[in-house]
Amino acid sequence: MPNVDDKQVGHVSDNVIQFQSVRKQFGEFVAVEHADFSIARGEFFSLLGPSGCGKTTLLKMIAGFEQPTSGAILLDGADVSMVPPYKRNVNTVFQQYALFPHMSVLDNVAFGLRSKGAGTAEARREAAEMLEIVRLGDFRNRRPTQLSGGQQQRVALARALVNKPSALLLDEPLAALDLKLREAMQLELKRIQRELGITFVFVTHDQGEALTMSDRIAVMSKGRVEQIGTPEEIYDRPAGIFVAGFIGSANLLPGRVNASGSSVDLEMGATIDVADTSGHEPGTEVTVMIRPERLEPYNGEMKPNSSFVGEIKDVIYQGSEIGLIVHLDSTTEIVATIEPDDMNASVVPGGLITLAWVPDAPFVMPGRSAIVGATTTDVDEVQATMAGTDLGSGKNDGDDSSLGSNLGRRALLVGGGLAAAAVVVGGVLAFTGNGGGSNVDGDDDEGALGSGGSSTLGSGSNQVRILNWQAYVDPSEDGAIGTVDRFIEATGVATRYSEDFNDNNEVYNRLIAPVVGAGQKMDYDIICPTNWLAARLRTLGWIEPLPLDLIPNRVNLEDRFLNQKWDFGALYNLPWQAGITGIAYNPSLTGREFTTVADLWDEAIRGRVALLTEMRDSVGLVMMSLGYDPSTLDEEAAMEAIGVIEEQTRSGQIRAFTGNEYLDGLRRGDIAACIAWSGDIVQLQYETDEIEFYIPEEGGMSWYDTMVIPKGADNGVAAAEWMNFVYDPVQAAQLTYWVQYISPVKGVKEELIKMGGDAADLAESQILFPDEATAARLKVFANLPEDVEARINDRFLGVTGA
Amino acid sequence: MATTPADTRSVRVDKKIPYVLILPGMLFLFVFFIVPLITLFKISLSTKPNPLLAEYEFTWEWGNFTTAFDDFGGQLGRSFFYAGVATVLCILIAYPIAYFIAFKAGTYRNVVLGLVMVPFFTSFLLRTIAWQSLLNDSGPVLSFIEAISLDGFLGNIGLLEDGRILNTDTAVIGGLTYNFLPFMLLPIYVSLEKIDPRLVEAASDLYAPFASAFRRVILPLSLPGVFAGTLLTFIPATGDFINARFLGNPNTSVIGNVVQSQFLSRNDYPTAAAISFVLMAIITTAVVIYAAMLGTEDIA
Repeated sequence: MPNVDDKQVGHVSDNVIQFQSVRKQFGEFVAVEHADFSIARGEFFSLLGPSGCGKTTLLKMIAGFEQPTSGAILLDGADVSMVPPYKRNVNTVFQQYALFPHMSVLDNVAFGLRSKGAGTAEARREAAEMLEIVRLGDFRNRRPTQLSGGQQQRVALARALVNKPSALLLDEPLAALDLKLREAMQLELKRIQRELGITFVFVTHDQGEALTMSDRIAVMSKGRVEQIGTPEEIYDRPAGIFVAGFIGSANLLPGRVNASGSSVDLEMGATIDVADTSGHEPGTEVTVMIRPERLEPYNGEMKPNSSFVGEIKDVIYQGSEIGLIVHLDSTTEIVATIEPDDMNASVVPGGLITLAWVPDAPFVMPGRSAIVGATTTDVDEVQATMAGTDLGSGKNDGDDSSLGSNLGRRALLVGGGLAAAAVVVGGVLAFTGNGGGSNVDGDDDEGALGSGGSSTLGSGSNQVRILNWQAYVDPSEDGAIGTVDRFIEATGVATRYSEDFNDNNEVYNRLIAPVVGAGQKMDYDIICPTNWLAARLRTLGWIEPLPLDLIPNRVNLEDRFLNQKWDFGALYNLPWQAGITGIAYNPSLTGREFTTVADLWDEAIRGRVALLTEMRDSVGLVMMSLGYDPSTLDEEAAMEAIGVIEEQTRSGQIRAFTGNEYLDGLRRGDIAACIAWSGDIVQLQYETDEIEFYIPEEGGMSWYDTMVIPKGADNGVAAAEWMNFVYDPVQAAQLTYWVQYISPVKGVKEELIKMGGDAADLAESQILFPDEATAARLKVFANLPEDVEARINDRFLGVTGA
Repeated sequence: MATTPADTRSVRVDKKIPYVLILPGMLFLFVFFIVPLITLFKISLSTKPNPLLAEYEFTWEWGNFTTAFDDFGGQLGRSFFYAGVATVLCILIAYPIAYFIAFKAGTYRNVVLGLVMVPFFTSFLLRTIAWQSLLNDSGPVLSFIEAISLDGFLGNIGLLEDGRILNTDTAVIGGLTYNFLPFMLLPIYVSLEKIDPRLVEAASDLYAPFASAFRRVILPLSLPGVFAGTLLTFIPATGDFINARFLGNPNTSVIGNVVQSQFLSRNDYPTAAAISFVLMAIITTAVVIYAAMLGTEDIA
């Protein structure tokens, strides 16, 4: 055990720390000024002062957390002003200990040794020894949070001391402890310091603590060191009024040295003798300090110039001593502490008392004190103790919400046979709800519409709700009035026209099957599925027969739509628009003219080809390129075509399967060629002349989107009114002029010619009005039985990656 | 002076109150989590008599689970690969930003934090689609790469496909990383922000240079944030299909695309449910392993 019991600290020339004209400034604020002193080896040195006096800044500059603005700090004789903390052989005990919460006590203490390169075992052994010294040997495996404040304090001490630093820096280490523990720790710190002989630099605002523990104290105020000295020097011979007031309690009495040179005329009127004027000339303004414990009750005759008489205002019992607050006159209040033995019946509030002192008790300091009389007994500023508030990080467990689905609300059972019967009966709906909770006409006060008694179509006529595809109706813009607005104007029917129809499969699975399939009404009176999906809905009995007698304009329906197999006589649907699926390409990217489906597989446009997610379009075209006819049911051929698509997908030829988004790709040049819908491209050609559209040599696909009325729709009359309106050739021509698809309405061509201008040009378009030869090259995808459709679809979706 | 008043607990707390208070929460969880979970599990063991109708019969059909692995193993693997890479990238990007905000941004802390969050006030879908215009073949990102002649190198290490970024693995991972960054950043920030700066000073005081202090003190103390961020990033990224849908190609599809298509395009709820359960099981296992690894690691 090192044992430095050399107490002649004042004379030791071996300085651990030296401040040389150190100044520290934070912006405008001067934290430390003219710090110019040394701390000797083995010394217990305190920096004492109120908060904000710069004592902690000084400590941080020793540790290296702050650098002096000017001046130098020497550690063991070497200038360390700019040396980072981890290279300085000093250690700090932090105010709130700053123990590493994720490490055991032992690892906390071993931290510094590990940093310096000691092996784990070696470091832990030394750490364990140090824990014994601070009497925490049994706690080595605990976490810091499991220890009391005093124990944490000792861990922090051990963690610093184990490194055998040149100096140990303690930043108000006892502030967080309660009184009893604080007193015990003061003794403990002294003991440890004595045992290890390490220099302690102790920062505190508690003067009692500083006096108890220190060999020397530096009292600081407003960035300046006011006095450095032993506790006795500082207490008995303070360098100034601040020190006198800050250390312990004091009675300060301003006055002037009088002509005698050995007494002071106080401002309050009295004159007192002083043993020593500290060299002040007569007439100099001074302050006389008398410590409260130097005042004693006196019962003899008045001693001139060395006693006061005053009125007791308060008696404060403090156990070992008794505090008296005494008024000398109306403005001067002093304190005195007396022994309990000196108490008697006259020492009561309101009583008079004579207080006297020994000649050397008054101490003369320069300057006039602002405080007259007693300073506060306790200068303990209420330090805002930084309570380490621990905001627990609330880890939110994400709730996996699952899709709930409604099992067993099945209201309908539809078989193929039943649907076939409907065709035979023709016009009259053959379907009847099987009693499983069909609520379609339950509360419909407008009654059912239609010729068949079993029709569930509502007869509402005031409003109509339409679900159609995007960009499929001319909007009201640029001064033109769109179809929807023209309809509203003409009929007064409130119309809700929505463009949320994105994808046949999705609309079927999301909006139709779970609703109509469960016997409920859709939120729409007209929906616009593509012909194949309309056929499925027809088979399932999920659409209403049209109230044809309310749609006189249906006579304008092109004949070819009347003899479709799935709806012979077109009793359940009115086509909205028809289109051709062909190929769009950008000749500047392909570098040559494209004419076939197989051109899509050109190496030159690898990774720039898109196919449609619409299975019938993509598979149909590829089937034709393989020499098959997609209009006849041939599962094997379809699968073979999907095989080709799969190969081209896996090889990276195909970049994407898209809906309408291929338009963005074409515009940007990400897509050089793709399967596309005719009307889209005709519209796109208004923007750019770079994109060409062709019906492949092998043939193109033909399709049409329908208007159908979902089962049980409320507004049959209004729906019929809409259909009738758009089947007026004048209206239909307006629509065609904007959407650029093939109109199913007779007379549109003539109307367009009548409109003149570029509308008339459209009448010449092969894409809008294909001639016989072109029409012959277009195929409609075969009707697929549900199991075949499921298999083909599944395989196709697999290829697209879904 | 320093005495605390005796802890006189005169009011007896009714022991039933806490249970009463958690009742609404438990009920909510039961109705909206447990019940749907059981329902979904039942669906995953069902068969579909009619491929066109959204209905199924409970038949203990374990084959759906085989399908989930056999037919969609590729997508499953890709989901975890993409989510894993994106999570690692998120950590690498988010950590320094969070560190900066927590320790260096000072009074600008909230401003910087705000700047990080602002883009995320727009819709997830919109932001992802916006990436298409950045990454497309004539977009600014590719132009920049070509301008600094990095395209050859990036192509060689497989980050570009035929000189493209859009519709590649790179784009999907990039999109995931971008979209989930705040979910990584915020928890890391919170855990870093909680670290007492004096601990860093203490480490420095105990002879640890910054790198060592970071490794031994900051990093281990911020691991709870990294862990939370990883969960918040990895789990949703695994199930995400938006990025693969808009930034990927048919060969980069992930399990989310399959689930979506099974539910919306094929109407095959049993398979979709089975896949969801497989995904859930794998994620749960992965998280438990990850938690165990982080928890027992000897950091000190």
